[in-house]
Amino acid sequence: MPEEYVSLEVRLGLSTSKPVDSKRAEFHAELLKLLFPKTKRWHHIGGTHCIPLSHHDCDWNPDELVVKVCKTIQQEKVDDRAISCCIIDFSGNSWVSLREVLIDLFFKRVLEIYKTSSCRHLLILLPRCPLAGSLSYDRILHTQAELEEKKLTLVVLGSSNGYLVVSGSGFAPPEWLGVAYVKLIRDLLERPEQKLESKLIRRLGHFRTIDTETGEGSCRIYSYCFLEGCDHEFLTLFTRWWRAHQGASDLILFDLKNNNPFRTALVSLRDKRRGLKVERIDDVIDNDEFARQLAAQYHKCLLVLDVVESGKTLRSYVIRLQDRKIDVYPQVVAAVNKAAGKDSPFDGFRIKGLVGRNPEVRMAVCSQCALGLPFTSDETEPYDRIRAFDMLTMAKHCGYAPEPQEEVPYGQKRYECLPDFDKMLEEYGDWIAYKIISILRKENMAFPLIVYPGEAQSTAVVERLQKTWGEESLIAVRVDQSLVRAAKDVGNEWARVRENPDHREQCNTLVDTLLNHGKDTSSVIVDVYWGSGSNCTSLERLLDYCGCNMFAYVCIVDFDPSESDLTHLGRPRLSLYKWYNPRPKV
Amino acid sequence: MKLSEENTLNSCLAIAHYLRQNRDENDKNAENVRGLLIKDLVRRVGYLEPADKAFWALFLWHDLLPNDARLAFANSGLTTDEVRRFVRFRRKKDIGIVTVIAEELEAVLIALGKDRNSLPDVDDPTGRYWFAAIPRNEGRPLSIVVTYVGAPRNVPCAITVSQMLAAFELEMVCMVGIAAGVQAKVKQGDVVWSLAVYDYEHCRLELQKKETGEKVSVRRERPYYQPAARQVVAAVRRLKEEAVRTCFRELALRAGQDTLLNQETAGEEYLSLHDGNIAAGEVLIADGSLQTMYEEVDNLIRAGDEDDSGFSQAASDQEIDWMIFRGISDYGDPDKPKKNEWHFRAALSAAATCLTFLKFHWRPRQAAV
Amino acid sequence: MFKSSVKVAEGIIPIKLDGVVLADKVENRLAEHYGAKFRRASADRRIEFHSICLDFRRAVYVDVAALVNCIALMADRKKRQLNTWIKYPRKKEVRDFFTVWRFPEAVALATGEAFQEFLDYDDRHYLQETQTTYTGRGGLLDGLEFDADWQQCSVSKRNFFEFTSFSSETGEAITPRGMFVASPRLESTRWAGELVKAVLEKHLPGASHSDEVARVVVYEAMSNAVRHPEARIIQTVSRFFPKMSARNVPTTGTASNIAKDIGKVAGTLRLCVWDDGEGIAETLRKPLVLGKSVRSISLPSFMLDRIRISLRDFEENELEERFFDQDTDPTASSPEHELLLSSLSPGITRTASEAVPDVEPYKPTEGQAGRMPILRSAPGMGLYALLRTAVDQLKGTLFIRSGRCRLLLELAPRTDPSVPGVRYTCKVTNYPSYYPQFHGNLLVVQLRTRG
Repeated sequence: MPEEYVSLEVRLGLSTSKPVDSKRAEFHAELLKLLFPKTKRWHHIGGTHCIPLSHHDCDWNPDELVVKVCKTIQQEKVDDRAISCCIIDFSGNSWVSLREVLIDLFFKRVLEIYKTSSCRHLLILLPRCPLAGSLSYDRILHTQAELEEKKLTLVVLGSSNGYLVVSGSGFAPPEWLGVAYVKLIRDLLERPEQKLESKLIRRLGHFRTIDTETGEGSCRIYSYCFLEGCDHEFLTLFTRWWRAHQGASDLILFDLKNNNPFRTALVSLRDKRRGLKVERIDDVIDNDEFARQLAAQYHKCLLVLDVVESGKTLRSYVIRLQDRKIDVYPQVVAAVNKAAGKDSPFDGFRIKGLVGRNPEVRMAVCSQCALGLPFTSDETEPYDRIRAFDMLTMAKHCGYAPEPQEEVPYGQKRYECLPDFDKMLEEYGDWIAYKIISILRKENMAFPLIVYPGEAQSTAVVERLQKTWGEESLIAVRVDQSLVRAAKDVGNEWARVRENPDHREQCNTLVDTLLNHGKDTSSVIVDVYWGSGSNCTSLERLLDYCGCNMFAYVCIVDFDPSESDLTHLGRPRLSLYKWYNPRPKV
Repeated sequence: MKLSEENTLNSCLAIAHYLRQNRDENDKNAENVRGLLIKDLVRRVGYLEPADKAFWALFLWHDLLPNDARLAFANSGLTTDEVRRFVRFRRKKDIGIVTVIAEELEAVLIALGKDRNSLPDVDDPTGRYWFAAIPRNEGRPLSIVVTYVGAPRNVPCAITVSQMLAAFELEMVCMVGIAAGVQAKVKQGDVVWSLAVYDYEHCRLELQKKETGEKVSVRRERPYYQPAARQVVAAVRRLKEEAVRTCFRELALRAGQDTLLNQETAGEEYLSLHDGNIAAGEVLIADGSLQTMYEEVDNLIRAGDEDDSGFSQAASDQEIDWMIFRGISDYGDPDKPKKNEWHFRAALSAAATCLTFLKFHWRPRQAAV
Repeated sequence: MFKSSVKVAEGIIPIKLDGVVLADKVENRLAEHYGAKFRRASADRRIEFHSICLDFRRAVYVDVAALVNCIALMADRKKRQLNTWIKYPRKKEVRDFFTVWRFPEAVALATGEAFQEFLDYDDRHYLQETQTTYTGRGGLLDGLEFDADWQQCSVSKRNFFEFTSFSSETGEAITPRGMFVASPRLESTRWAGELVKAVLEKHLPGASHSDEVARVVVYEAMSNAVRHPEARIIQTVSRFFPKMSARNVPTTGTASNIAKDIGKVAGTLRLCVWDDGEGIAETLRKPLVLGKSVRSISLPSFMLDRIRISLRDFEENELEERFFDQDTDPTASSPEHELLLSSLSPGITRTASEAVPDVEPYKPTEGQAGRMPILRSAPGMGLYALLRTAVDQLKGTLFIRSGRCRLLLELAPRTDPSVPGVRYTCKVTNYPSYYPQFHGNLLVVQLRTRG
């Protein structure tokens, strides 16, 4: 007889329950094998589900979590078969965002979970194991008496720092559990290379580079920047490279003016290894005395640069450093290598890019210069909105097409010709998401509640936002097209939609989700474009109905711009681009 | 909340560029796209000034003509480029600084952290402009555009200021330069800032008419006084001499003119600030008449030069705030040397005063440029 | 030059902040001033309206908590339309510290007035000078204190520890809603960055504790501030002062006295969170006066701790020793320090009595009947969690300044011979009634560094 188990994942910032992904489900099964080698077969019961935990509940209703967990377990239990083990997995969240009080109260009521599930073993997977002296640690230890009395086992596993076992049933974990678990969970997590790739944004604009040798300028339409918050990935990847090249040099010189995360990662290495020196190249080149000291001590340095493309900057650094009697290690690390793939030779050097991109075509004649358009900076976005040249570049590149039939709002006439937003989001979605996030950030909108109509294109925008900003940083609530349609039929009176038996269940879930997530957080409606604003009005009325505090409506293109930039109900209407082309009248 | 965006002209130019690219495509989709672009362009043009609108009307009409018709235009020498010269490409900056002679320009460039010989960032028939930013103690940095008249007298100065105001959207213009001072009140190296400009050319005429009649009142308001805006005067009044002196010392070191500082070590008080009226006319004051004007016409006069009337009138015409900082290089004596060793020193004093003012006391109205 | 005697006659009273300026020194100098004022009050009623001048001219080291104290004082005086002046330090390092920590900007934001308006006329030129003390070169900490590549548009801070202000543009009171709801989370995320983690790991005892500073200490301190009623601004600031090596400590002369004073802050990380809201004790007293309870949960035995209280006057003379048990329920007549201590006890919160139901925007329909609005059940555990992490886990000190009271909590020595079961010791300084109430609440966590 196989033994039964239930596994639940708790995800902070998720709006509604969704199935646990298969990779994580496999990980749970592997973990059971690791912990209970004697049990031959495990059978997973129920569907594996993520339990959504809103930021609001994490901060304000930490007590609710156990109730939710128990409720889900009850739903998972299809019949009265005995559950042997229960896995509750918090490991997909960042430890810093899980409040201590939440963890403490969770363990305070942990016995309720045994009671609901009637399991003997409870595995709690946390990003970190609580440390001695902390509130939650004491709380775990204080469950001991009751667990012993009832012969139950509690195993708390931290993703990086060991585990705690409180057992009343004589359960003894295998000796190698700590190491084996760390290996198991590392395989589950996304690789740092992929994470870093997804945080590299390609910006559009009119970027100017001056050739250091000839003094001549040339223009680019792309510039690359990394999102904040990827310092960990840089640190991991660079440390990995560093370990593989132990003999490189104890002196690292960097030029990372436009790459704050990499700079942070490098500087944080400074004191970690005895004798390692990390300095800005400019400090060495501009200060002869300092350069002399370094030359006497190190002779050789490792260069770390932001973007390497033509290699001219690299060459000029090499020459200037050699003038100061500092040799450059033949391998150079760059955040982005645009020369040719990730790893490429140049002038006797090997350039190792942590991310690779294709070289850019330089324009012999720059049409933006011909038009007299001002240059844009590599360091910062010139405007909140997208420039006309950039929007039309994207539109031309992605083509124009009639509005997809399924995107036409209910009761509205179709656009005959619009930029192909599907392609645009595919090609430039990272930058568009970055622009939207910048606007929201500027208004101090951290961890907003994003409400969006269920069409494919708006879903794509929100997915991009989640990918760029991080899933934990926003809560996205999708409002199904059928609901919006039903609302429009009854003059956007959502109370009436809920009365409609066809939509009642779906609508109740939606309203519950909004109530749960939108209590104190500001909510934002996100859409691809504003044609007549009918979708926006429906969603606005929904937010009003749920008592949510709506901050603004955000879209990529506003096809019916007005002076006031307000929605029909008077909320700010923020668009990345204004393009006068109102939806044709019916 | 207001989102920042590029100016309408630049967006029109970009749309026009793509419209041109689309011009020769004839399929249905291209026609739809053309419709989309034109609709948007026309609406944007609606927000422009009349002269710009005229250009875009011509452009649209011209650019959408069939190829052969357009060729006829080109052959006749009548193209939209002819018209485009009249279109104003106004860029936003916070402050415009006007200089007249080379020493003044050099002093200002040094004050703005640039090389004294740096080439202009824009050099076209409408003017020469240098760009810089002044970081401030609080808030965002100020964006600055500097221009150079290169010729004395009110008229060239007025033309330069008008051109600058046509090319840039500014909150205030400052004149930074040197002038002759009223010896009884100021000394060389001091700085006079303007309460008003007093145009003595016009004034003299009127004085002669009235000579036979009653005595001219010393502080009588006349149409020839061009007063500086009250809020600007209030802001400049907050300037502290010690702060200006510190700034001057730094600039002198930056300029590599340590000798300027050696003169200070004598312990004599140097670089005092004076508020007062500035006399400006078409004739260089080199006959000692400044002293007479101070005594007989207006005892608020502290300095005199030949550009400020044009400067203040051009700015006032466009309803732009202005302020004048004049370093005193001489006393307007008949025997003053042509190339005065005090020129650069006085210009640097004026630049230091202007810099200190902008850095610490001027608050821009606009949140960001 | 400023002639103090002349200006005093004109009504400006100098508060001399010389040498090593810690928060204690600011408070003591002010106490001297107010004490003197109190004694003279009957003779000269006008003295209330005297301007004071915080004279930093001879300061050699200024602690961040002292700066926050000054800001609180200035904001309070500004509100009461009393003038406060500042004389800037003559020591370049101290001026550079002010610049790099953005003290002038913090003053401006807290008072709504440009910093130069407070600065003595003769000192205003200092605001123009370029700082040279911090280069960002050297060790990890230097990189954190000054990012030489920092740009105005950066999301990160030039100095990680600098003053950060949270306030609404319209000057509305801060509530845990809208943009402020995320402030604690944002601030704690900032403290979870790689660089600061590396610094914490290097300097704090027990490398694995670095996350807990962000997750618990910063989060709960901010979260506590956001929830104070009537706060219009919250400011955070911190400073890491690494331990001085024995070679650098002067042993003789005036320098040795300074070194002794600096020794009080050397080897510590200080984190300050100040808000200008209603005092903690007052907030807690309100429901008690109405006869309501502030205890939200009953406590398990491991949370019932005893605190040894040492009551002092501001000259540090011990007046009395008492004990306080964490299960003691505060009453409307409890002294201020007991209410403050209660706020650290588990399960004590003003919201326990308020039991604010969440907005109920729709009428329960079928199937929703019997669905109760969810009660706010963050049951006053935040500050307790903070206490456990900062004091128990990280062996630090917790300092609270609010109203007329100052608390300093530490772990009690392991073997207290006299009373068993004492977990913490708490020094309480009660300020006399002539000393003005502290403007808002200041929470300082001090963590000792390794070695």
